[in-house]
Amino acid sequence: MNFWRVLWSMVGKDLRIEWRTKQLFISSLSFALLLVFLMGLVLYGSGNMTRFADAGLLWLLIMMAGLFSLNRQDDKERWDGAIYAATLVPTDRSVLFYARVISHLLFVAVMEIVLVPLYSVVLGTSIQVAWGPIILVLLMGTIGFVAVGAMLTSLALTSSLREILVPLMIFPLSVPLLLGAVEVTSSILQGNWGKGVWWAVIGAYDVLFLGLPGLLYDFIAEV
Amino acid sequence: MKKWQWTLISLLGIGMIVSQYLDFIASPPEAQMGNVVRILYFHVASAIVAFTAFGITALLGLVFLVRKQWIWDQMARVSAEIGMVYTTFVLISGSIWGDAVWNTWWTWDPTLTTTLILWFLYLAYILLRASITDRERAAKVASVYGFIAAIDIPVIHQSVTWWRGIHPNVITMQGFNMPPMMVYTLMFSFVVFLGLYAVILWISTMMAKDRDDLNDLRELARNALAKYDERVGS
Repeated sequence: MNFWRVLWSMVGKDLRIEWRTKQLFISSLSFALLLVFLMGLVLYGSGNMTRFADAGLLWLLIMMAGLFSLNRQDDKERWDGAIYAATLVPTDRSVLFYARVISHLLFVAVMEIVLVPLYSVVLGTSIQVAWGPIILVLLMGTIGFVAVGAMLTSLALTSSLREILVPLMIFPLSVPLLLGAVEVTSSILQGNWGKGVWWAVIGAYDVLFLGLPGLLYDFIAEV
Repeated sequence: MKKWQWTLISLLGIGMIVSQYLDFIASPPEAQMGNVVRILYFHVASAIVAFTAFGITALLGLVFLVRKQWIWDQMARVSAEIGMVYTTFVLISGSIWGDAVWNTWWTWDPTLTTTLILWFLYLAYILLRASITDRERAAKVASVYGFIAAIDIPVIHQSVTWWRGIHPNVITMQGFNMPPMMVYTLMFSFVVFLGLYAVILWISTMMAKDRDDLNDLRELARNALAKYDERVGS
């Protein structure tokens, strides 16, 4: 079997499980909704917040929700040792990493479709300014976060401190991504595209963390 | 320990005393900061040790992945722990200096931010190792993580630098922005600190090796005992 067929069957498996149970999506989304509600509550709307704080909060929200669902997905894969069975794939094992990235990207993207408009309503942020750039930065930022997350959850697979270790590794490692995404998003909220250098940071980060784990994954996947 | 090893360690001890003399007595106070500048000799030297230690961790992790010899992994593990201690020193001494000179304990300056992120990254490294019971798995995972973290550090530093900062750049491409006596003192403390790092690395690696060997022996004994019990029981 070639790489692409394996990849799509792995992604299809994740989507089918999710479609039948809806467990991951519902739990992560309710967690994210709760966060939005709490932010709105403690900040009393965002009338007194700067655009920068707006963008920063939005990205923290997305990353928290993404992290939550990463952990949940990871749990699902550990049931009955499914992750060990998956290492028998008849092709390069990096396929496991890319399948994980794609299916997780889909989950988080769907979550963002609900979350971002809701965030703008609850906190009174107007994001009707420019949908194109906002969607682009959300997509690029999410790809980077999901890639580094997929990598780190497989690293911490057998650790007994998994739940705390994954965030402890993800957030420091994704500082460039977070800074870039926040800078760009706050510029977009003010009506311009933002500095090219921050787009470059996000892009470089995406390339780095989509490429590097693919090369190193063989070492991690052998159990 | 052998005689030449004792000699080297004694020399290092004398060097450290000389370094104290240079730091506190021989080197001049700075024009604006006065005596506060003396923190620099400790602070910068600690930073050099911390970066060296983390670099060595990343490098030896790769060597372990390729060669699969335990000694590289033991050394990488120990080096990360030493680096962690020195990063803590850097953060604390920097904070004290910052309070005296900048009038604030902490700012979101690029160098400070990167150092703090570094601290968190290697805290995760140490926890990751400690929380995986299978030794081979722990070694592999930690090597991969150490390598990724090391690659990410320049990216982190660059991205935080684009926020601009106030950290003084004492060492630039043009050389040192300091009077000669201060440069000598700083150089001397680099040498002494790196020497101390090498000694700690060496002793701790031996200890880590002994600990691992002891665990292996214990495992062997346990298996042998289990086999014996089985035979006697049947």
